[in-house]
Amino acid sequence: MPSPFAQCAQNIHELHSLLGQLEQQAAALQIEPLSGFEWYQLLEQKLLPQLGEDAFLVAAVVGGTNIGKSVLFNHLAGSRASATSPLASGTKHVTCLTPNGFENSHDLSDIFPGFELTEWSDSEQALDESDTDWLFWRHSDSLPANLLVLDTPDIDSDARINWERADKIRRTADVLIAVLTQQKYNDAAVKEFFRRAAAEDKFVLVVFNQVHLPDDEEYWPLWMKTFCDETGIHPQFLYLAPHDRQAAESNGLEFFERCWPVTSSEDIAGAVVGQDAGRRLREDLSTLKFGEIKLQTLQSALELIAASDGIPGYLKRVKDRSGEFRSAAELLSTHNLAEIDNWPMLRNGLIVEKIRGWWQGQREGWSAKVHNFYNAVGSGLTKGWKLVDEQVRGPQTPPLEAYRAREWEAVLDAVDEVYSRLNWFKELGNPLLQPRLATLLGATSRQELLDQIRSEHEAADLDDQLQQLVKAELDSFRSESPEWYRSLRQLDAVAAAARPAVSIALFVTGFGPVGNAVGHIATETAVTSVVSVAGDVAAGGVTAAVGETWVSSTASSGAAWLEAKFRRIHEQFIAQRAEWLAELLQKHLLGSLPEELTAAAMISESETFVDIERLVASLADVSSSDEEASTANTVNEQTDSEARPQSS
Amino acid sequence: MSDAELAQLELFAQVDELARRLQQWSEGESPWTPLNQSRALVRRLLTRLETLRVRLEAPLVVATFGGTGTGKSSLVNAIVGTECTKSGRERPTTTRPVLIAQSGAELQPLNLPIEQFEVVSVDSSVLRDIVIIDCPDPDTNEAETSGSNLEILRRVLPHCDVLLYASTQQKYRSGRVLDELDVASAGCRLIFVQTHADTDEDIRDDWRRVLGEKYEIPDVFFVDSVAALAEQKSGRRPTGDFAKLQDLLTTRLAAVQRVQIRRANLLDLTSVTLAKCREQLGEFDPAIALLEESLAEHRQKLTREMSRELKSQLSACSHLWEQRILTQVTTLWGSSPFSALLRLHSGLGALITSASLYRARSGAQLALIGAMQGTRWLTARQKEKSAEGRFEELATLGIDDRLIREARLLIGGHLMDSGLDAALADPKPGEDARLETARFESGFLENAKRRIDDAIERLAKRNSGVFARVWYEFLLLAFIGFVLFRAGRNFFWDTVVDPLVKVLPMDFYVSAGLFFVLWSVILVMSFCRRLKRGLASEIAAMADDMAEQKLTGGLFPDLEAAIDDVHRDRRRLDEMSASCDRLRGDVASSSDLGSPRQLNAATIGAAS
Repeated sequence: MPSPFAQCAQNIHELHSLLGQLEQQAAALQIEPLSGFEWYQLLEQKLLPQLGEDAFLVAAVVGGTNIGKSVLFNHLAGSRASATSPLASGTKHVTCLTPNGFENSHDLSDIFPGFELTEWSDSEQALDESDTDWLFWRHSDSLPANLLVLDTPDIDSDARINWERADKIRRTADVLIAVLTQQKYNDAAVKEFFRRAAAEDKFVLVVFNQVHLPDDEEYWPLWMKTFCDETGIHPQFLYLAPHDRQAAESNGLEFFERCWPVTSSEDIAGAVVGQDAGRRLREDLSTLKFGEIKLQTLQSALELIAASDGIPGYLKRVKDRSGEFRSAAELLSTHNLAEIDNWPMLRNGLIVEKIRGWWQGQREGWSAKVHNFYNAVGSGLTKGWKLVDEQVRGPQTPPLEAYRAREWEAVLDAVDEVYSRLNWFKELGNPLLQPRLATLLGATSRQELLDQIRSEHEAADLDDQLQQLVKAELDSFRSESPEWYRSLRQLDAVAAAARPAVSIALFVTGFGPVGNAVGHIATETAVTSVVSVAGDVAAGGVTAAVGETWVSSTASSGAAWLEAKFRRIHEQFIAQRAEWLAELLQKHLLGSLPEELTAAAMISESETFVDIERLVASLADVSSSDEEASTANTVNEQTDSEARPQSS
Repeated sequence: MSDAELAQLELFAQVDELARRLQQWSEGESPWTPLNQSRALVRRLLTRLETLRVRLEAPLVVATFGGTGTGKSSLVNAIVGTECTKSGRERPTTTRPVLIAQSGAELQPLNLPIEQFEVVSVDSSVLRDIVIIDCPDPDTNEAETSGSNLEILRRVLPHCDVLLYASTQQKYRSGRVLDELDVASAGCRLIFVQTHADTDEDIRDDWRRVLGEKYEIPDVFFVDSVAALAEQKSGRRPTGDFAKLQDLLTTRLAAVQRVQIRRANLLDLTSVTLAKCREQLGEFDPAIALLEESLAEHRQKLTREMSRELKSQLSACSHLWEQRILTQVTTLWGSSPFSALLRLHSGLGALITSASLYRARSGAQLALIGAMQGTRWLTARQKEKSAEGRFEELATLGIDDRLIREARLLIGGHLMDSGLDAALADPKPGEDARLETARFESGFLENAKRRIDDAIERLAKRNSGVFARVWYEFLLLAFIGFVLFRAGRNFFWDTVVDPLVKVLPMDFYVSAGLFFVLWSVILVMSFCRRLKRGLASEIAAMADDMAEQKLTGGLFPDLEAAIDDVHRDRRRLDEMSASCDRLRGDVASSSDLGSPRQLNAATIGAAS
C-alpha cells in the first residue's frame, strides 16, 4: 500500500537533518539537546521509520511492574517467550515477536532506533541487568503478517531506565495492550504514561489483571472510568483476567471480554459480552484494521510534532533564547567595559628631546656641522655635570621608566574599574552572563589578566612608539606647511651662525651647566615655554640676528600653532596607549565572549531556522489535508480482514 | 528517681545543650554567604527540634506509609482489632488522614494539626502508648497540588515518630513510593510490612535487597490483615507474623521506649542537617585555602619589598649609624680620656642628629635614631598626619602603592571565589587606604628597630675590644705625654742647663693645641671607621632575615578577622557534628525498628 504520507516522508527526513544542524548551533544557546524533547523522540522513533512504509502494526504490552505483562505476552506468543518471576521489575529489556519473513522485507533496527537488536535465544535474556537497551526478537508462526508484538519493561519501578525503554516502545507502537490492576490503575506513574499514549492517539486494549471475579464485577467499571477520565484513553477492547497465579504460570490464563464504555448506568452485567468464555487475545489482535490504526497513529504523531509544544515550541524557544543572547550582547557592547581616562601625561622634556632629535636629522650642510659640533661640546660639558649630580642625588630613574611606572598605576585603575563594572553586570543578573562573569571575576582569571598585561606592558617599547609618533607628526607638519618649515630652517641656520657667540654667552652666564639641572623643571612648568625651549638657542641671539620684525610677525600665529602641535603629540600618545590597554583588556578579559554572544543571537535568523519554519508550516498543511482525506474514507485498506463489529 | 526518669532528664539536658549550641551557632550575620545559608538551614532544624522536644512525653505517633492499594487501612484496622478506618477496592480510598487514639487520650501535647484529621477513639490494648495515623498514599498524584493526597501526606509526616511502611508484591518497587520514603524517613523509625499474604507471594527477600542499601531493616512482616481482623473479631488472638507485629507495636513502642526512639529521631535529624551544612561549607574549603595562600604570598612580597627599601635606606645614612654605635661604645667604656673625646664627638653628633631628626624623612632613619625616640616621633607624626589627612608621607618605607592595589585586585577575585563579601578587601569607609599600609609598615618597623638595636650592640662590642681601647687611649695619651714631656724638659732642664735656651713660647702651645685637635680628629675618625667595619654585611643580613620573616597580619585586617571567624565557625560546626554523632552512637537504636542509613536533608526543608 503506498502510504498517503509518501510526500510527507520526504519532508520529515529533511526536517530531521535540519533539526540536527539547528541543534548543533543551538548548543551555543544552552538549550537542552533535542533528544530530551518528547516530540523529537516521536519524530525519530515513530515518524522517521514508519512514514512511507507499508502498514505493519507494532503492538506492545505495557504496564506497571509485577502485574503480569510477561504473562500476557506469553499468552500472545503462545509459549513462554518472556520469562516471568514473582519479583518485581523482572523484565528489563524488550522482547519482540515478528511474523515469519518480516526481517527480510524490513530492517528491524530502523523500526526500533536506539535499541541493540539481537536474536532471541532464551526467555531469561530480558531479565539481565545491563545499560544497553536490548531488543530480543524471534519469529512467531502464529502471528499474522505485518504484526509485531512486544513485551516491555515496567513504567513505574525504581529503575528509571526501564521507564525510558518502555517510553521508546510506546512512541514506536501503534497498538498498546495496557495491563492494569486494582492496585495500580490510579498510580501517578501509570497515568502519566497513558496520558502520553492518549495524546499520541494509540489504539489501546485494556487487560484488567488480577481481578477477583465475580466480587469485583461491580468495581471494574468504576476503575475504568477513573482510569479513562484521568488519562484520556479510549480503550477499544477490554478484557478481565482473573487472579489466578497458577493459570498464569502455566500459560493458561483466561480472558473475559467486557464492553467499554458502559453506555448506560443500568445493569453492569449488561456490559458482559456473550457468555464468559475465555478469548484468544491473539486472534482478536489479528483482526484489527491495520491500515486505519496505522494512519491514525501516524496522523496524531504528525499533529503532535506540529503542535504548539512540538517543533514550533522549540523554534520559539530558540528564538527567545537568541533574543536573550542579543540583549546580553547589547548590554556588553553598549557599556564599553574598557573605558579609560586619566592616562598619565608624558613629561614634556621627553617629547622635546624627540623633537630635537628629529630636527637634528633635518639639518644639513654647514649648519648641521656647526650644530653637531656645539652639541658635542655641550654634551661633553654637561656629562661632567650629570656625573656630579648623580653622586649627590643618587641614581635617577630614566624618565621613560618613571612614566612606565605611572602608566602601570593607570592600568591598575582601569582594571579595577573594569572589574567593578563586570561586578555590576553580574549583579544585573543576566542568567546567561552570570556564570561566565563569575569565572571572569574569579582569582585565576584576575591573576592571568594581570600577568598578561604586565608582561605586555613591560615589553612595550615606549621610546620607539614615541619616536614614531613624533616623526609622523613632524613629517606631516613638514609636508603640510612647508613655509613654516622653511622659515624654521632659516632660523636654525642663522642660529648656527650665531651659535659660538650664544654658547659662550650662555656658558659665561652659567646657564649651560645649570640649565641641565634647572632645565627639566622649566620644561615641566608650562607647556607654553616649550616653544622657546624647542629653539633654546634662538632666545636672544636669534632675535638680534634676524630682527624683531620677523619674530613678531610669525610668533603670534606660529607659537600658538606649535603649541597646539605639541599638545597634539601629547594627546595622541596618550590615546595610543589607552587604546592599547583597551584592546588588551577586551582581548584577554572578555576573549571571544562578545563574538559568541552575537553568533548565538544570530541563530534565529539562520537559514536552517527559516527552512525548518517553512517545513513545519507545510507539514501542518499536509497533516490537515490528510485528515480530510482519511475522513473521506479514501484510504485503501489492504491488510484488513473482516471488520469486527464495534459493539456498543 | 527511676532510671527511665533519669534517662529522660539526661536526654533533656543533652538535647538542650546541643540545641543551645546550635542556636548560638546559627545566630548572626556573616560576611560569608555559604555560612548564612547553612545557618538558615540550622534555624529551620531548630524549629522542628522544638516540636519534637515539647512532646517528648507524649505518646508515639505511628503513621502508615505506602502506595495506594497496599492495604494500609486494612492493616490499621487489623492492628486495632476493629474497623475504624475505611478500606476498599477503589483507588485511592483514604484521602483524609485518620487519627486513631485510645479514647480519652490526651492529644494536646502532640502538637498535631488536629483539624486536618478525622479523629477516631478506640479502646484497644495496642493503643495504650501510641496513636496511629492512617495516611493517604504518596503515589496517585503526579504533582503536589493543593488538596492532593501527596500534599496532605507531606504535611502529616513530619509529625510522625514511626512509619509503618506497607507494601505488596506489585508495589514494593514502585519508584514514586521509594522516592517519597527517602524524604519521609529522616527523623523516623521504620517498620516494614508486606501485606496481602492471602494472594501474593513472599517477596520479602527481594524487598530487603532493594531497600538494604539505604535502610537498616531488622525485620519484615508478611501479614494478611483481613484474616487477622477476622480472627480478632471472632475473639481469637492473631497468629503468625501479625502477632509479632502487634507485639512489636505494644512492647517496643511502649512508654518506656518513647524517649529512646524520640532521641534517636531527633539526633538523626540533627546529624543529617549538620552533615549537609558541612558539605555545603566544605565546598568552599579550597577557595578559602587559596585566599589565605594568596594573602600570605602578598604579605611576603610586601615584606620583601620593605626589607629591600630598608636596606638601601639604612646603608645610605652612615652618620646615624656612627652616632648610635659611638653612644653605645661610650656607655660601655665609662670615663677615660679617649672616651671623653668620643663623648664630645658624639655630643656634637647628637646636635647634628637632633637637627637631622627634624629632617628625617624615612622610616629607616627613624628606626635608626632609636627605638624610644623614634617611636615617640613616629606616633606623634602619625597622629598629626591622620588629623591632617595627609597619609602620603606616612608610607615612609615607600611600599609601592601599586603592589597593594594589585594585591587588592587579586584578593577580590579570591573573595568572589570563596563566597566572602567582596568589600572585605576594601579599606574601611572614610579611611584612606594608605593608613592601613602605614599600620602594616609600622609593624614592620617596630621589628626593624629591635634588630637595629641588636646590630648596634653587636657592632659596638665587636669593634671596641680591650686591645682597641688600650691602643686608642695610648695613642691619645702619647701625644699629650709627648707635649708635656717636651714642655717639661724645656722648662725644668734645658733652660736650667743652658741659659741660652728660652722657655718655650706661646707659639709652641698654640701649634701643640692645633696638632692635638688634628690628632684627636684623626683618632676619632679612624676609630669611627673601625666601628663601622662589617656594617654593610650586618645590614644585608638583617634585611635578608627580615624579608623572610612571617608577619602575622595587618595587610587587610578586616579580611583576616573574617577568615578567622570562618575557621572558628567551621570548627564549631565540626565539634557539634561530632558530639551529635557520639550521642547517636550512644543511643544504639532499637534493633527491632528500621531506620534510614543515609539521611535526606530535604526533610528539613519539607518539615517547616
